[in-house]
Amino acid sequence: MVLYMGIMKNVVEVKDVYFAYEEDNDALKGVSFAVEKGTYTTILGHNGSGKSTIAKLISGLLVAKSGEILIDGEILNERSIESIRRKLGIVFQNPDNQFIASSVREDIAFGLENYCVDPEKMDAIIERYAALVDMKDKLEKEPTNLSGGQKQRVAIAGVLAMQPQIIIFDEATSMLDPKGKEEIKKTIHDLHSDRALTIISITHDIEEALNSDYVIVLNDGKLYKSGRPEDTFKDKEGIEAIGLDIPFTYKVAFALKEKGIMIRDVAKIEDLAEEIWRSSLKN
Amino acid sequence: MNNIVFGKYIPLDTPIHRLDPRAKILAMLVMLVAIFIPAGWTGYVVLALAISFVVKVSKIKFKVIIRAFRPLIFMMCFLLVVNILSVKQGQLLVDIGFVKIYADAIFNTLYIIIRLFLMIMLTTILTMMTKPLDLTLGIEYLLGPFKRIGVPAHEIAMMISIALRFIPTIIEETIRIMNSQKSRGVDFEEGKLKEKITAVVSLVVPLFSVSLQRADELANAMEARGYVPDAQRTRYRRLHYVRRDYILLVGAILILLAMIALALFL
Amino acid sequence: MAIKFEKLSYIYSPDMPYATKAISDIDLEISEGKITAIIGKTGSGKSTLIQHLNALLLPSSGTLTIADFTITSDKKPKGLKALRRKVGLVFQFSEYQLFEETILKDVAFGPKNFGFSEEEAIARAKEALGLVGLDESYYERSPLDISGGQKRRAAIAGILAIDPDIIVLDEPTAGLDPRGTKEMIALFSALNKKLHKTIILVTHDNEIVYESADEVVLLEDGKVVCKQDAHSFFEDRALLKSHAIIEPKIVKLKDLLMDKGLKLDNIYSIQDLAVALGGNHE
Repeated sequence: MVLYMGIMKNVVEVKDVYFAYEEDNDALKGVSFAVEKGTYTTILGHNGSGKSTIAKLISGLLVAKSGEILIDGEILNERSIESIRRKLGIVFQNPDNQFIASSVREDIAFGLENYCVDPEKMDAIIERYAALVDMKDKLEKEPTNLSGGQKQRVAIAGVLAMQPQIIIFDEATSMLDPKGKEEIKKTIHDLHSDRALTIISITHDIEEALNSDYVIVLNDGKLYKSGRPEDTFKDKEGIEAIGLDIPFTYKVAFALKEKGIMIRDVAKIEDLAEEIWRSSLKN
Repeated sequence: MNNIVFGKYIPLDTPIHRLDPRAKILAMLVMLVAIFIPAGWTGYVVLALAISFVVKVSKIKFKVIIRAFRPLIFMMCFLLVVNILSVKQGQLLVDIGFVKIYADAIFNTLYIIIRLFLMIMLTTILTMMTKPLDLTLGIEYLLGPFKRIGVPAHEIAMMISIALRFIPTIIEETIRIMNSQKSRGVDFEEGKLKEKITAVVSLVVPLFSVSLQRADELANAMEARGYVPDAQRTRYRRLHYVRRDYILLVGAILILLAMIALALFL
Repeated sequence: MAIKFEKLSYIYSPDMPYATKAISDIDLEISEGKITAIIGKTGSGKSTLIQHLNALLLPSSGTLTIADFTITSDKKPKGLKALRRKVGLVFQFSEYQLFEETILKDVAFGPKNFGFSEEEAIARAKEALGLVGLDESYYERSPLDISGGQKRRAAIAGILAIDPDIIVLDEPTAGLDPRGTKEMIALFSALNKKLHKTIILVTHDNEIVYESADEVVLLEDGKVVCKQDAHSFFEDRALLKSHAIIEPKIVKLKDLLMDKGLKLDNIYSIQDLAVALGGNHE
């Protein structure tokens, strides 16, 4: 089942994928979806819904029990994994556990070394991508002297340096403080501004989902819903029943509707205020 | 926690810092051999002077090195006692009935202490004056020739550098888990043996499971970034010998030769 | 059990050239029976402050009084165990403290350390597990085999089983999904309202603070900026702005509406807003 048959090309296709960490207990029970090239897709779901498993399957860190995954039209398997890995980067949740080297500079170099980039060319690449995530002045720093948000930005630079087509963010902001969260969200947003990269973000951040192009909702290892965020979050009861939240602006609109005040669904609080104010003028 | 700090890298910019890590490791090995050559007191004076000169250049305070020595004091005393009880040669120095102390017992202990002290000075200089990362890189380069006979030089270096990278993280984790358990009434300082064992278990088990989880996540992160343990990869940091490195190596070898000469002809 | 900090300072590695004052001259009283939120940026001294509540850190200067316990810079504080029985500290990512073979045993570990008999400790553990919503089917399971949210609750039960009067929670909702977060808020609200526990909450999430806390303590650079009633704190726009504090969404919406000229009073939740606006229509 391909969900978005647009003119755009699907860069990730997940077809009827099953996966189990232990026998007789499937973590994924036949999940299918597709991600269009250049889009920003968020994957939502309660803890244990299978979101992170999906990320690991797509990046080839886990192997599906059955079903098929296509990256950029190529079937993911043992033979294709190496070439696919170059197209795809992943930023994980824990800032500490993905900082491999002892300084920012060398951590960004780590992936380049693996792909046998000429050492003479590395400095230029490192500096370019460090600048992109605003870490150029901290290249010599050790991980212990960096904040969580800074470490995550280094992880992003390390991934970018390998020039992937797709970047997966696996709850990359969930362990950060509000400042770190904002830094990372802004970095991701900036990266996506020219729509050259495909972004897949696994998150609990409803507001981030609201600002993305597509939302995929997982529940207990199955696809619950997928589509544009504004359509997805109209299903307040369903979304709340599977342990998730709907955005604040939608909550307010629902509460007002119950009191007979009808307003449009909007994403921003500023627009919501405008809507409410206008509706109050009519009366 | 002070013991862990022992030998910790000090970010300064001294001539010793600027040396190639391979040269430093090799020079240290040569000097360690020199220490074990029985060249008498003259030999030790030569060695002590040479090492003191390095310490002087490195700008480390002698106090710091003495501090590194402190945890070994207990061992020294133990050695002394063993020597006093077992060595019955040389001039009789003290005789109080059942205890007889001979001169050789004292000399033997002193020899060992001086050797140990010189060795600790050397290794401390090396680790304090060399970035851990450079050290592992040096080890990797030096082990390179042994790859042909199956020594996984790169893997060893990678393991060491990851271990070094995670030491501060694990220390932080240890403190946090200890605090959690203290809040649950665990007393890490006092208590009966049984309580002490429980206290240790309550620290070690969580620490172990967190570390395993870290290892798993780290392995994923490395794999996702294209790391394959035995595959060919380039190295961002490369090492080049320059003049000062040769000077160091030649110096170390000369001292070794001097020690051999002293041992043979004195 | 009133908590009183007087001129309390704490300096990390005082003998070293890089000694840093983590908190300085803290004068603060935390009210009994309330939910007090301690907020502030990373590095503002929040976790240094709460570690003093269990004498895990001893002040460099000043005193901390908790009921009849006094903690000073004196090296060997007396009655440590009695203090830790009265004040329960739930650390960030507390699930990492679990270590026994079964959940029940793990939760009973605390009470046993504080001198309760085996049976009594088990009874308390069962009660605490009930409070956090882990039923009998969890008793004999390994704490390593359950989900992250359940581990977190088991760890909190481990503190509740000690039955402290004051419960300190450091980022209890970090990493939980929306449902887990809601359940956590419901849990400490219930501990406060039904069991009359004094709750000290350290969090970065101002939505949670606004929803559940009675009072707010704002820390900045190791100093107390203010201690205030939670609602009035978040209504002080100038204060929020000058300390770059993220407004709770409902406050932001209310402010925007009031700026547009709507008259709104006592709006603390979406429901309040709906009622107020709905009222205008009817």
